[in-house]
Amino acid sequence: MDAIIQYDKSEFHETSSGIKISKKSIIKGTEQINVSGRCIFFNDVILRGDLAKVSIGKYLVVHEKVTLKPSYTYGYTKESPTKKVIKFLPLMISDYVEIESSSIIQATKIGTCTSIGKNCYISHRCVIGENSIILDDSILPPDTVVPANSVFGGRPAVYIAETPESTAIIQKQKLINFYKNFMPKS
Amino acid sequence: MSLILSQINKDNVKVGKGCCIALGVQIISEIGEIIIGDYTIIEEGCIIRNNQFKKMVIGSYNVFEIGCKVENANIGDCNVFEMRCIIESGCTIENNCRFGINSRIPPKQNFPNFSRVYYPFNCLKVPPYDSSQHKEEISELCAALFQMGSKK
Repeated sequence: MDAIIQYDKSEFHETSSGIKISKKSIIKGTEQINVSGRCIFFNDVILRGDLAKVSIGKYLVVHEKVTLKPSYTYGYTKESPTKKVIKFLPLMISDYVEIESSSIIQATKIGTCTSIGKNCYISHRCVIGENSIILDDSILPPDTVVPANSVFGGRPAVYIAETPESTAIIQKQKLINFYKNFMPKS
Repeated sequence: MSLILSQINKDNVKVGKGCCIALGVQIISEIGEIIIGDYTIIEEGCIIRNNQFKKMVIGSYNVFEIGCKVENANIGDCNVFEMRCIIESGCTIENNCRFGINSRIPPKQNFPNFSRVYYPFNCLKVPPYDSSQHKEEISELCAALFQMGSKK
């Protein structure tokens, strides 16, 4: 059994689909943010939805002081083949993802059942595959692709090991229990 | 015109044209003034502080990425400060420099043109190049951020 975490009901917004958002977090551009439900956002989270589309799956847990921001490219596109322009890319986060405190995320895609540690720096246009683990205090340089079922860590982050096959089941069970034990003070 | 989304003290802080200052930025001038040039981008959670009598001057076409801390520094043009780098008081920085992710600069250092710093404190110099491409990219990015951020 995991420990029960109790929160003050006056400090959190709660929606009908089960999203719990702290009142101290900064969220901008809410009409472009798509959330499936059952997510928890703690204090001092910054989420920018006004730059590009942000889509979030179910059972996402974001801890304190995390910044989520869409990235951009600078180059030629179909609309302007002669002049270089800035284009913002959408940010996609899948189901059962946990992001620990004070990390910065500017990736384009994060796969299912991944966990990202404390103090991580994930730079522009990174892609993180499913069932992978990013260790604490690691720096991912721009345009890094993390393959599925792998452990990355270090400064700069390199491939360390392969994750066991039971990672998906353990991660799902852990996040469902975390959401169940996160309840208001009575 | 410049886009300012966070609260700053307009008496002591002067901002040029085309700048973008994002949410949650603290620009603190306790005694002296802070002067910021044209086309400078300051992203979320940066802290810029001046607690001396001298003016603190920041040039044009600079980028401060998420979570930078800068204190009492004189900064030229076309510099890039990457995520969460810390610059302690009394540094002078010339043009076209780049400071890597999470690097920490000790106080009272001088950086000439075209120098690079990587984590934790490895200093390099690169051969000189033309900086007009960097200026074009930064002015395009300022225009895109201004268009996205000003609409409701």
